[in-house]
Amino acid sequence: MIEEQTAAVDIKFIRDMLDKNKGKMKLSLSVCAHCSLCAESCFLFNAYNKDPKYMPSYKFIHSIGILYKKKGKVDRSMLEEISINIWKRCVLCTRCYCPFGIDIPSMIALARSICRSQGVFPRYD
Amino acid sequence: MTIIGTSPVTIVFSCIFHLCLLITPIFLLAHNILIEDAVGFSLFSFSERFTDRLTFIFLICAAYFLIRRVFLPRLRAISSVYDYVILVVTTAPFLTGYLVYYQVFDYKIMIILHMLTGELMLIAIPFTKIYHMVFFFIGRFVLIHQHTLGKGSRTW
Ligand code: SF4
Ligand code: SF4
Repeated sequence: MIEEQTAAVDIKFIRDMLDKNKGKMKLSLSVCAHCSLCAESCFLFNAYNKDPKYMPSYKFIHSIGILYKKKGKVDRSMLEEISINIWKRCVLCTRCYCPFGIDIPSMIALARSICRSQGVFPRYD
Repeated sequence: MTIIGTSPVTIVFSCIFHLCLLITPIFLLAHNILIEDAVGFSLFSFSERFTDRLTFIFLICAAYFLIRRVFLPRLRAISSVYDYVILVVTTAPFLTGYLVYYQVFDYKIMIILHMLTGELMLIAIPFTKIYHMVFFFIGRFVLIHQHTLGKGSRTW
């Protein structure tokens, strides 16, 4: 476990995962108009005093968006930062609504898979 | 609650913005005279007074979007330079057109700027987010999903 937490990030593996989902991911990121209309559809956004960091779009832009932009070239601390957006700030209830039809939960789920593949995930021990 | 319920003002501004964006240049008298000269026929035109109002309303909507993006924390959290560029590219032909109509500044320079910014916007369509003017119809009327307006089945 300790080894897993300090091992170097397998950039090629992340890139392969990104490539496998490239179509939908690229389309979702480029279609997003950064309009914030999805904000109120997330109960966590409402529960946390409308903190922008809980907006569905913020969460997917600051997770899969970062991974895509950096082409997987991220280090462990970046993955840890991303993991806050996709675990602590999202319960993957799939209730968020984007008028453009972006499937935000699937993007967050993909970011979770990528983080998990590198041993970054919430621990309760 | 729908987005009309959560963000009514933005939805109204957005609808008016898009409507003005589409119909103003198509039914503008000066444009249609040029088209008539070039190909021998053209669409009907609105009165100049009316298109002048539409342009003004469009500019107000664009200002609303700009102010929203600059000042609202939720938009600042996700905005990039690209968002501002797209707004400028879309608004510039209208702003220059408005100034040309009222002959503010040098008319010749303004009309050239108006043509250049208009061309820039048209060129930008297939390469940027503005392509949603095509995808909108595909997304709403062709694909079958929860936003379909045509005869697609809703899947939620
Ligand atoms: S995800 Fe959809 S609603 Fe949310 S900011 Fe992007 S385009 Fe707007
Ligand atoms: S899936 Fe996540 S972002 Fe979407 S509504 Fe649920 S908690 Fe919010």
